[in-house]
Amino acid sequence: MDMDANEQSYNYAELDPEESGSLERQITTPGEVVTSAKEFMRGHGTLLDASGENVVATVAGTVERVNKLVSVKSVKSRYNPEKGDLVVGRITERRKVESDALKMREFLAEGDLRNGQLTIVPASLIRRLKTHFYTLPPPCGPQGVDVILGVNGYIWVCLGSGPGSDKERATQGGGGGTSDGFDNELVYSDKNDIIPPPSRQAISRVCALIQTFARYSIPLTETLLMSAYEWCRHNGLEETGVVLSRALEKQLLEEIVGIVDTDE
Amino acid sequence: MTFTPQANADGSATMQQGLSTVSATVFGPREPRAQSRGMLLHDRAFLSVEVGEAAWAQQGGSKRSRGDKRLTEVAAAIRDTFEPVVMLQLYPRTEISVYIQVLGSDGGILSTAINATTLALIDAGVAMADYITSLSIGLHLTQPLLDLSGPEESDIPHLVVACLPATGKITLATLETRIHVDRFEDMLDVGVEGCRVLHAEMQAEVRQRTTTIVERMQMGQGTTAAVTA
Repeated sequence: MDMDANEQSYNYAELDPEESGSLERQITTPGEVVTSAKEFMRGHGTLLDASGENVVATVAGTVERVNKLVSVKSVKSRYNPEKGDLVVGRITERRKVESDALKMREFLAEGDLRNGQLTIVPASLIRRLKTHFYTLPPPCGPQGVDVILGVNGYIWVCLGSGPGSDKERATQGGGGGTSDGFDNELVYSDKNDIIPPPSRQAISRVCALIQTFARYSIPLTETLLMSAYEWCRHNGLEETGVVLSRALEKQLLEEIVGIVDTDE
Repeated sequence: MTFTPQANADGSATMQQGLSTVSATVFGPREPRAQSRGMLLHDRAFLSVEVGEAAWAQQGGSKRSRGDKRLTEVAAAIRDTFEPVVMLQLYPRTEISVYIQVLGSDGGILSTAINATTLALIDAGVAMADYITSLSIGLHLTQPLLDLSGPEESDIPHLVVACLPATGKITLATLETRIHVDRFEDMLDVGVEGCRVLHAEMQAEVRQRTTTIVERMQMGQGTTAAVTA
């Protein structure tokens, strides 16, 4: 949706109960009155003030409404799990209750992500999409690079399993589905393959690009990553370090995303 | 007043008032760390606040360590100030940690820290009923003075006020020296007025940042089609 001057202005207009949908991009911050109309139900991110008349925002974000339900969606918040989400997990602690451990093993195994590296971005930058497994095809490293976008903001970037790869690996078993139909030995193997330097370079470049976009709050998509990688190749950056200089970063954002003002 | 993106934090902000600079970093709501698991509450989140001071923060280089009594007091005051305003009941069984670093110390550390914490909590997307803004008010003869510097603070009686600007409710008023009761009301009024001004400034900053992020989120979306074409 385009943002025109009106929507960006600080002027605050109250929600009109008759009008629906048009103000969905309205921005509020905590303590601001979202509406005083009685017919609204209040949803997440809102609060009834002391007088009991006004619906007040409790987070900074956009006002959203579905019929009579008004809620404020925070621009930045912790990951809220939903059914069907694909997440990338990281083991930080083991609880040594035997039955727990056994049950978890039915669904997950440690070390089932391999041949790559983990990178973490704010969860709000990853949208729920049809697929969260991307393969960036071979110009991006000799075997391509696989990317698993966890909705929780954890991203696994690893060696591609496309046609160029020398091992026939089960591809989509990594995240957390049941292992039916996949080769368990390979999916749950925790042995890394030998990864040639160009592939390593490609993997770390993809990670660096992801972090660059994350710093500027740009949501990640397959095409964005691909075109950014292409841009790096095009500009002859293949042999240089993966972390871009400030100037190159600016150029990348300007040419790929269209952000001109990046001074923060 | 800046939002300083810190890689691993959920929210962070740096506030500068005069020569005092304080940065606040918020983690959470998250599962309580092992050392604070005992404080876990079943029906709401708990706030933990830690205050540290950089070695160079004060003139003369007298270093205060983390266990310093004054800093602990500041931490306790911040926790008590935010507890009623942050909507803790929304995040049961979690911890919200606020880490405060005093980078430059020239009076009004408590109020600068409170303002920085407000911004950092908003940045982290933690639900709050309102902003909390804070100022120190001094008294020279009969004249109330706003936002004292370090030397002023040590010489004249002063009051630290934190309030919710929308309702004018006061969540914190601390006085370390004695003043005449007749002067107190004047000082409080001036302080609340000052807090309102501060609120307007902070609100504008938060809005601007939120607008930028919303725009960015849409930008990425809109241009992907154009790039592939």
